Amino acid sequence: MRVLLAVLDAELRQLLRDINTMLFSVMTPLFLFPLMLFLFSQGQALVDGWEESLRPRVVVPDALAAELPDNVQRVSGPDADATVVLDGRTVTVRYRSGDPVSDLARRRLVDALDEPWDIESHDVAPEKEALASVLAQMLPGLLVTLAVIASMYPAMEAVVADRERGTLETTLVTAAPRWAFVAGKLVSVGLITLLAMTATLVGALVTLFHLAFLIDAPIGLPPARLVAFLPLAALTALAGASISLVAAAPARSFKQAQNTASTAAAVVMLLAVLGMLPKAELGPELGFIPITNAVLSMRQVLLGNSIGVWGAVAVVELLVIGGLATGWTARTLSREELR
Amino acid sequence: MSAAARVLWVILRSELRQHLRDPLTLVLMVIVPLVVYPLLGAGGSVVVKRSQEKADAEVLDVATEPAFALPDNLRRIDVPDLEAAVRDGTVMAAARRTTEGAEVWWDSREPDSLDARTRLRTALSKLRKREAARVVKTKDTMTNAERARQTAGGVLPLVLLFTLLTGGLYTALDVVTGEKERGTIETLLTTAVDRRLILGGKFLLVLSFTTLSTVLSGVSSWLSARYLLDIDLSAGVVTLAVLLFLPMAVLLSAVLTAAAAWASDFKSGQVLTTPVLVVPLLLAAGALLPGVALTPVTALLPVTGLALALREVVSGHGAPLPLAVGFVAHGAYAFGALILGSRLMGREDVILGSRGSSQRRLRGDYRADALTLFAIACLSLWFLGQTAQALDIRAGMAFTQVGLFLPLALATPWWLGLSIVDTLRIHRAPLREWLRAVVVGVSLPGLALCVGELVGLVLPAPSSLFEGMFPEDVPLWQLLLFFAVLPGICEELLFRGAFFGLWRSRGTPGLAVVVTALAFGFFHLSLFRFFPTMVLGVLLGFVSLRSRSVLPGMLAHALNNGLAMVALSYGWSLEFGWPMVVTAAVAVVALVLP
Amino acid sequence: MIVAEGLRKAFINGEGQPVLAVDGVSLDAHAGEIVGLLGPNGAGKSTTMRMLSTLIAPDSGSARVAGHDVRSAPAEVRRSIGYLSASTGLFGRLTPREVLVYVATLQGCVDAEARAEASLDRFDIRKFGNVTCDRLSTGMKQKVSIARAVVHDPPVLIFDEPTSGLDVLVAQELFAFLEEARKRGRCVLYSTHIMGEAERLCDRVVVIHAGVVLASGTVAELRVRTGRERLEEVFVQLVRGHAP
Repeated sequence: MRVLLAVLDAELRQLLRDINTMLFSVMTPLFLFPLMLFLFSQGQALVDGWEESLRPRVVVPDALAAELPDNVQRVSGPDADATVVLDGRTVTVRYRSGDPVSDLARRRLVDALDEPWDIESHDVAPEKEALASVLAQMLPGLLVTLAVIASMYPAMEAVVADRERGTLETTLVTAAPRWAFVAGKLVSVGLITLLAMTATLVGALVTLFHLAFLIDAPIGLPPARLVAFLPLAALTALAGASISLVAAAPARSFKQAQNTASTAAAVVMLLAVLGMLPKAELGPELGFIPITNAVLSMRQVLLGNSIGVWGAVAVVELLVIGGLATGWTARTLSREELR
Repeated sequence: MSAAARVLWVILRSELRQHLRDPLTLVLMVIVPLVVYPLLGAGGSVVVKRSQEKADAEVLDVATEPAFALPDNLRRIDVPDLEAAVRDGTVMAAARRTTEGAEVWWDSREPDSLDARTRLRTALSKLRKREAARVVKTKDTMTNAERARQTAGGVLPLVLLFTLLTGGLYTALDVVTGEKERGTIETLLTTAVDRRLILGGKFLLVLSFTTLSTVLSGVSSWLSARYLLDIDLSAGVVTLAVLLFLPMAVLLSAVLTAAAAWASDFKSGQVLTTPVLVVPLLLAAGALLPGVALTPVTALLPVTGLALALREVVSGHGAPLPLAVGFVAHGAYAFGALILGSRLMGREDVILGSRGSSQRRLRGDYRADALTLFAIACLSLWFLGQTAQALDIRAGMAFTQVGLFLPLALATPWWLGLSIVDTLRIHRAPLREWLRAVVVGVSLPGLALCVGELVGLVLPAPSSLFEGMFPEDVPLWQLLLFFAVLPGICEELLFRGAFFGLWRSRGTPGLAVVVTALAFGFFHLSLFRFFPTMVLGVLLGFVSLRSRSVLPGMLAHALNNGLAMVALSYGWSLEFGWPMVVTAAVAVVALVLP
Repeated sequence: MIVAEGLRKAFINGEGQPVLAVDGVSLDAHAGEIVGLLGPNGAGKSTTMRMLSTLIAPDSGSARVAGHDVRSAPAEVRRSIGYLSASTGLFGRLTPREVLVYVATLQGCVDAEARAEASLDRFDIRKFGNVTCDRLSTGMKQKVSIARAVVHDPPVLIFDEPTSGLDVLVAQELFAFLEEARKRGRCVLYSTHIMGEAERLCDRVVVIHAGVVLASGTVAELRVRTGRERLEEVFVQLVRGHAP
């Protein structure tokens, strides 16, 4: 046990001192969500500002001229952005959907000419859950995706670095058993994955908090649900990491590992994205697909629903996949011949 | 010249030979762009379409009061209480007609409920159209084919760019960074060939691969548009689009080669090239924003300009002038990138991969530390400062300034083992400089307004921008304390103190002022506030530069913010006009005066 | 052929302190002689040789190789030298023949193919001339590396610890090649920390320690100067005598 801890300590130290790993595994997920919110809000503000500054040119028959809003400009001529035709009680707005100015003109004309008839919409979900449902849909998949991307480098490092740098010999000539090195590597990859997941979670939650403040809506995510969600998220991230690990295991060089591991990570990501689709449901269709069912289970946990049998299926699959992948990697690593 | 060309050719040929013996490369270069992307794209759209059809066909239960005509995919169920029925899941959505209109209940946690709501609303508006005095319809005069071409024109630049980048990235990392790892760069460097030619040969290899992937991706886009998505694109249009894209291939190959040259090993190359992968894609996506159209001016925007040009060409219009401008401008950017790259490759430390922050610091160059400080400041502002401000604006503001900026400004020189007083320049300033600071500070709001007005001509700000930026119902003295005095002191220490003090270690002071102002502008985390705050930063920078002290700038900064607060609390509307231009001029003159 | 005057080069060590790796090294080597650069690890041998090969630029001092200045005419210097060290790699995906043709062309030889063929025979690597270097054994790779360094038949050879990690048999071939090069009037600068090699091969040796030249001359001269018989003892005596 003391040997294992020593190996783990050395491996972790090497990983944490590698600025590239830290940039990729921790800083990227931490920055991603704030950046997304920033870009989104700035893009929205750009579009809003641009639209406010415009007065589309419209052709409108005299009978309707009085109803025109200030933010469109009445013209006569063929080069108008939109044209209104009055025929009996039917008003037709002719526009070109591909032209953003024309589309803006259509929206403003319809707003002005159509009689107000309010359709009042009531969301029966407790109001505080408005953001939580979006979060439940997006967060699990993103968490898994980012954790898997983040674990790719440590995984490659663990498998290939010793071969490339010749440090394998250095460790193998010591009296410590070989399994300790393999286990130390695997655990350190797992820890980095969890670290990346935590960074993602922190970035996402802080961003969510800012978003809630910006649009003045409560988040409504009871901490209890978040806590309940964490073990499943951690298990899924670890299983995802083990898949890229096993893919990298036979590689002889960093380059090779990069290709096999990124392909494996892409598969995991696709499965995670499948679970992020709004229509995806935890049922017989998707319930057996690993990773996807875990992502869907996490969504249910975040929504406060029970996950039942499908949740159990997801967990068992994760355990089997993670166990097999880790076991296979350990086997590959410990059969490494001295070269 | 011919000798150099011969050497280039020899290097290129040998690089190509090595590269083509790596089967993985061929797979990434050919199979992926030609087969995988179109299949994924087409497959994805088929899946989305099928799931949409399936969802549309699914009959959902709803409840209405009174009964009205429903589409086939909604089934009415009688329930005693509409809201309760939605809440307990008996029905997916419910609607009730009222005198003014209608009410709809739905459950945002349930995806089907959203569908049911949408269908109910459509049914309600049909109902209304039958009853209303006037029916408003819309008619899209674009044909389906035109719309499809428009979409294709928006997507094609992104597809081409993505394949170009992935193809080029791998190649650049292998032939430049990989050489360093394998030790063969030294072998090349011991030959009599000029170092820039070595890089040139590698650049040509990257270029030939990016060009190849662009062309292949063009072909596969054309084929999949035609046969999988049924979009009628003529081969001529796609050829023109790919030709237009060639300067982009040159530009990005140069950038990728330079980034790969900068990296010392494969892994750091990967990290370094990630921004090269992301930034162009973001820029290209900028062309998709509504209202961004191709003009001779927008054609100058890097990447965005060419993406716009491509969209115009594919959607079937596009005046020759902006197209030509975009083509030539990107050719010029590419040339510039090549020059920069060849300079980079001539440097010993870059070639041999021996660089480090301690090396720079030892030469008295603290610019990298200034940037690190800036990154930490941004991070702490985002994660801690804004969170605190969201909880309580006043306490949050005080915490941001005194709890984050102040310690950061003081700790940085201490950490680097520099004198705090001298780095931050906490020196006494003569009376004249204080007077100058007063004049500049008082006229700064006018200047900021003028800049805002100018920026508004190009980037009109939405009216919602300044809503809720400052709290209401706060006494003026608190506004002044939290939004003028504290920022005046702490932000000046952070920017004109620590950041400027570190950046000044290299280059001219004027440049340091401008870079500090750029950082100051970015720091306000808003596109619209960037230019006004940057100009503010330039003036504050010169105040501090002329006074050789950070202190008078604090006064000017606090005066500027304070005046804005006073105007806010007295409800003065600050309109752009001649008085503002005059004030702006006063600020500039006050700086120039001896 | 090689004349170096007061070469200096500083690096920054792990603690951020500057270290003078080479502190005013002057040496010369003539056509038809093998000069050994002797010193313990970290003495500044490699840095000196890399400066002479224009891989890195000296901070101060000057050097001329084959009549060309390393600062003002680096390309001419590189054309006139054959440089070999443990860190000059081979292109794994090229065959030895391709490597030789490639390097010969880069060195400006018009008859690159012919030279490559000649080198294949000279170093007895013809039989695996068409196998990519990745698949060669260590000993074969080393032979190809030596052939690569001298394919353009340069007047000056700069070999930086070429025998480290070298197969005994290949090392013997290398010594034979260097002796033959001396006969043909080539100038060889050869660094090593193995005294036996220096004793066997070198006409003169330059002992360098902590970036400073401690002594230079023939092995016999140094024996006289230190009063020791075995070269190892001579070396230790010189290094001990110099408190760094």
